[in-house]
Amino acid sequence: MKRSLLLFLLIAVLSVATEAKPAPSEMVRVEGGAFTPMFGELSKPRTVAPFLLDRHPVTNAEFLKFVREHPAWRRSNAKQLFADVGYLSHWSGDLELGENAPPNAAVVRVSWFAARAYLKHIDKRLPREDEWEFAALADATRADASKDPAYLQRILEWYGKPSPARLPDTSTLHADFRGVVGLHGNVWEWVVDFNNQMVTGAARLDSSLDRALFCAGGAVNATDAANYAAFMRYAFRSSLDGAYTVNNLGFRGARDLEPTESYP
Amino acid sequence: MKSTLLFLPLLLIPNLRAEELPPCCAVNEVSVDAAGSVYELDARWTDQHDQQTQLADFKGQPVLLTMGYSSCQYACPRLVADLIAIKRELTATQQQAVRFVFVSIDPERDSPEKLAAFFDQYDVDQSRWSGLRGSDDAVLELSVALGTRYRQLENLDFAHSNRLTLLSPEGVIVHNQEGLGTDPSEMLGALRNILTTAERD
Repeated sequence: MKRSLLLFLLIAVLSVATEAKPAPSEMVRVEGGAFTPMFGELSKPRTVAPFLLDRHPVTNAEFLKFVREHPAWRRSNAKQLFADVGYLSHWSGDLELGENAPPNAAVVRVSWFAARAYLKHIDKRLPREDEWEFAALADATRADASKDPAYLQRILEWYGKPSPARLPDTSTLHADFRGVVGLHGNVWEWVVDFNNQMVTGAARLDSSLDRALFCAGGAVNATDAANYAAFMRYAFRSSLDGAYTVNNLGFRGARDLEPTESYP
Repeated sequence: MKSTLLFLPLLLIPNLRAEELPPCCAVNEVSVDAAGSVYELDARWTDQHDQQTQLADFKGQPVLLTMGYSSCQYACPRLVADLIAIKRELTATQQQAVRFVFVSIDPERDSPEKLAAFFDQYDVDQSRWSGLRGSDDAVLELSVALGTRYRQLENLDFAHSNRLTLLSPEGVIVHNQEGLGTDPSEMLGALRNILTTAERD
């Protein structure tokens, strides 16, 4: 009797210990899975482990709070190696947002280093490229809408439009089926490993690579030429540098699940 | 004609200001305070002698740095050969004033012993050469600061930039040499500039 009670307690404790923590309210849990990235080694599906992703891109108000607390990241203090001259240049001042930076709109003109520093201080990280692309396969009703020509067309139409000078409040953006807003149709977003593409500047829209500049570069190629929208994102990332700031490039946070789970 | 075409992009940029020039050219125009130093990256590394180090420990001397991995069959041996070729152009005194650094993009496999054995193949002076192993995050952060791109492939090899970077004694990126077997005269010019300034001071 005692033994079975002990066994029962042990199982109860173990099941509590292995149960995934609920996501914080500002994040959603993205169940992982296998997918074939638009750009990578030919026909090689990759596995994305489950992770947490912010519902909204980081806003001007949130970033302002960060630079108040971290003076090194104020516009006038940032070093060129870590943020170029365009860093937060749409704000009115070091600590004033101004009319071009509505508090609840996505913060843009932030470098990879600045985005990373912001997320580090709240115990988050930038999503990996695979994670971002996996989450971005979703539309309002499906986890993977990437084979739907209408979905692709909507994204391409957005890419074809210039970004507004004043970005919209993130609460007005359309949510996907997980409740994540703004992955498409708002701003481009940093991924932690943006520098993993080895497309040369001159051949950015060409999948052939210069072997002299990049060792084994030729092994990385386009896999699904039909998904031109994804191709544009990979090409855009390949044009970035860690200090670059762009008027329609923002970011959002991600976090590993604890305990770290591996997808079978 | 070709040279005109090469400069065409520059002609199209009106009023190019010093702060918009690439790091190679802008370094003389801006102070280290404005430019930022690689030595502000505070990650910890282990060298081939199994000693803990930070990049800032290299402060005070010019550093020639490249990123690669020791089991690389194609480019990395040639990157090291390019570093050695630059070194050979220097006087014996100058050679002693430069630090050569090889940062592994494959920390999982590149143990200190493996990096030491990698250097042994080239018979380099391991008191002047450092082979660094760091966390994945440290490697990524440094690669982004240097503008080096890399990606692990399914067969565990890496695709990566072939780039040598010259850091000033303060850790400012002074010059990047792209490609393999590239004519090192520009790199040598920038390096000698630092060395002669240091000798004069």
